[in-house]
Amino acid sequence: MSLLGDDGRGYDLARLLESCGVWREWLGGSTYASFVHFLSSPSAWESFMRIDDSTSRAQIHLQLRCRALLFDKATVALFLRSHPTNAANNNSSSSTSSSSIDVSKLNPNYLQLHGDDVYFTLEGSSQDGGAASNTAPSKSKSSFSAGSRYVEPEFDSLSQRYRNDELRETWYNQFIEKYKLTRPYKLSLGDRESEKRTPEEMTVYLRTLEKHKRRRVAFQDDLHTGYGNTGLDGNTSVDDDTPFFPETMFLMNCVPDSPLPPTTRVRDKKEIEFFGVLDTLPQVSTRSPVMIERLGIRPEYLNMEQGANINRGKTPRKHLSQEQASQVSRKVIARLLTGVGFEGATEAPVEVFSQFLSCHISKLGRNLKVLTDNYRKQCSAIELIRMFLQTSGYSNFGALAELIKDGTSNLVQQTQQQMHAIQTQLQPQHQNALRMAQQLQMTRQMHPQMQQMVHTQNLSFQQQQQLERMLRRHPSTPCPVMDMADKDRPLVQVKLENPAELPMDNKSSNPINARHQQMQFRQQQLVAMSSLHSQSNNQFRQLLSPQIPQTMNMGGVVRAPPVKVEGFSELMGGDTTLKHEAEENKLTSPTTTK
Amino acid sequence: MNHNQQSNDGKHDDDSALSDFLASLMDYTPTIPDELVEHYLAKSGFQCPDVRLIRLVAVATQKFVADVASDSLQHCKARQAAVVKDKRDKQQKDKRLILTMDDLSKSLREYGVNVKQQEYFADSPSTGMDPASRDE
Repeated sequence: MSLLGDDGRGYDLARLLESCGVWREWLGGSTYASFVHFLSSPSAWESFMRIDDSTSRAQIHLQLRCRALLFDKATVALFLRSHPTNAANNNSSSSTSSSSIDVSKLNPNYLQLHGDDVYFTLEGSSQDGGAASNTAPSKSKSSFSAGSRYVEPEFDSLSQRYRNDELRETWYNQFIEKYKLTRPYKLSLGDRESEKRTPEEMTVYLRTLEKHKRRRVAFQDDLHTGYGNTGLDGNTSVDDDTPFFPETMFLMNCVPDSPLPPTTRVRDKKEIEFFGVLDTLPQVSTRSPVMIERLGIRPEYLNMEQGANINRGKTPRKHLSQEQASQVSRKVIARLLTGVGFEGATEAPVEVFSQFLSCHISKLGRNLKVLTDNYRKQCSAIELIRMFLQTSGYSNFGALAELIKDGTSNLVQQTQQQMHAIQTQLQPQHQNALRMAQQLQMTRQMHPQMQQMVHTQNLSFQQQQQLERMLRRHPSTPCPVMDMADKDRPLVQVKLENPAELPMDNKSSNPINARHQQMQFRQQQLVAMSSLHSQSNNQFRQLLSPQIPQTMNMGGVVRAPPVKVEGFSELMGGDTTLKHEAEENKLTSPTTTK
Repeated sequence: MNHNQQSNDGKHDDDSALSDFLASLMDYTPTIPDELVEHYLAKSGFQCPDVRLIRLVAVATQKFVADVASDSLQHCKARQAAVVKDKRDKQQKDKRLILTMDDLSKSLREYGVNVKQQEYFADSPSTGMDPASRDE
């Protein structure tokens, strides 16, 4: 330890302590008188610090007390890492000059005795009946807080230790006596006892302790380089006299049960809507002239406010269970296989394929989640979608656009083919069975209210019986969407997909005949429904609107109907009230159309 | 600067094309219902109320599955075409295109999915072995 010199006796440090008047305080008046002459010269100091057979017990005790204080003040050198003073001293060749340099740089305030520093005197515990003293010199802190059960016995042992000791005038006794006179016992911080200190109070206490340590800097350079940072010079300031007794034992109950800070605000229970980055996709900048100019229809999502969600305000969708989802997956696979060209499939491939479908959707969902979670701040919604398409292998979404186009054009083509087929061939075979099958399909597409009306009012008794027989015979719907579709949703979406199913479901019949019967039935239904016009809803109007305005008789003249795409208004979406009114007029007076 | 401007214009065109494509999704009903797609997306932790995104996922899945199915169809047709001529008359009735596990596994293998099934199951390690070697 460089502050004690090479010989370890610390003569320079002792001289510096003497200049600060610390020895008198530490040893007491009577003891100081016998000690002070040892500081006159290095040789006297060396003789004082030397221990041999001739040294008396009292001198050894005195030496121990001096060593304790010297060691305590010199320990600051152990904690210096890159102090500039130390670095300069290490490079110096002269040992005495290095120690003198270190000592001279010490802060006088640091050399003073403070009540929060405990200097164990290295004396044996055999003399006192109290607690054993610490044999190793250490700069430990003891708590002087009143009310703590760890403190008062210790303090009592301290005072007890020196009660019968010859060194009565110890610094601690004097300090405590003086402290008792000037200030009553007070806890270091807070009004509560240390064991009841809250975590916040503990934090404040630790901050105060840190501030206190910073004020007690060891070297004068630290004061000016900012380590002291309070502008204090070496003199004792009012702040240093502030009684601050650091605690040595931090009781466990100051550790909070939860790392989260306690909140006192009232919990707001109202639901907060969270908008994800993909919730507000950009709206269409260009409006389709077909939709607007011809039909006056505006897509539903364009009606929403900018940035609003498309589905907000709608009724909540039905949630599928696991079993329902797997069942729907199998039906979807069956339809896809049919669309591709398969005529059948065994059970195992359908099961495997449906699981493959679900896994693929889940995989796409995971990709979307990863992209949105990681890039929602850096990228916009469109960029995220582009990234998603790239990860899915559709960086050029032309293939998807082609699929959509093909799907839409196929529907139009099929409808047109139906029209032509009906014009050319009229073969009334299997009328009743097919009519009932189609009626079953149509009624399932209708609104339940209208369906009830159809059942009760407009169908003849025979037709009703046949319908019931069909219902009993075919409980499952051929179209998976119909089961899962919400009742409020327009069912015309299903209708668009269904026309291809009719030939599949009735393989024994002529597909062209089936289409013809479908048209016939629709005409009949329309006449029946005209009486219920006032009670119908918009959905039903949309369903009826694309009816072919023709009067086809069994053996009559076939008039060429106007080319019309079935369900065109449903393709475009929106309200078709205006269109429906025109259609109604056409229906009631078919002779006017050509 | 001109190059940057051109790239910005190109990017803007791409964005508008993608927006139009998303808008067209509202006019097309995918084969896969929205509820089913939402169910599996929710299982994977993604939730988005925007129907266009749901339909985008549905269309992408439909395209992918359709590709697999068409590959399976090709395998099925190839399998039927490879039938020996003298057996064709007997199997005339079986010319229907029926998806089997064999066709599906071949097509899925191209996409990195292995669904090959065990050819047979044995109840013990020595099943099917020669009796002489079994005794050993």
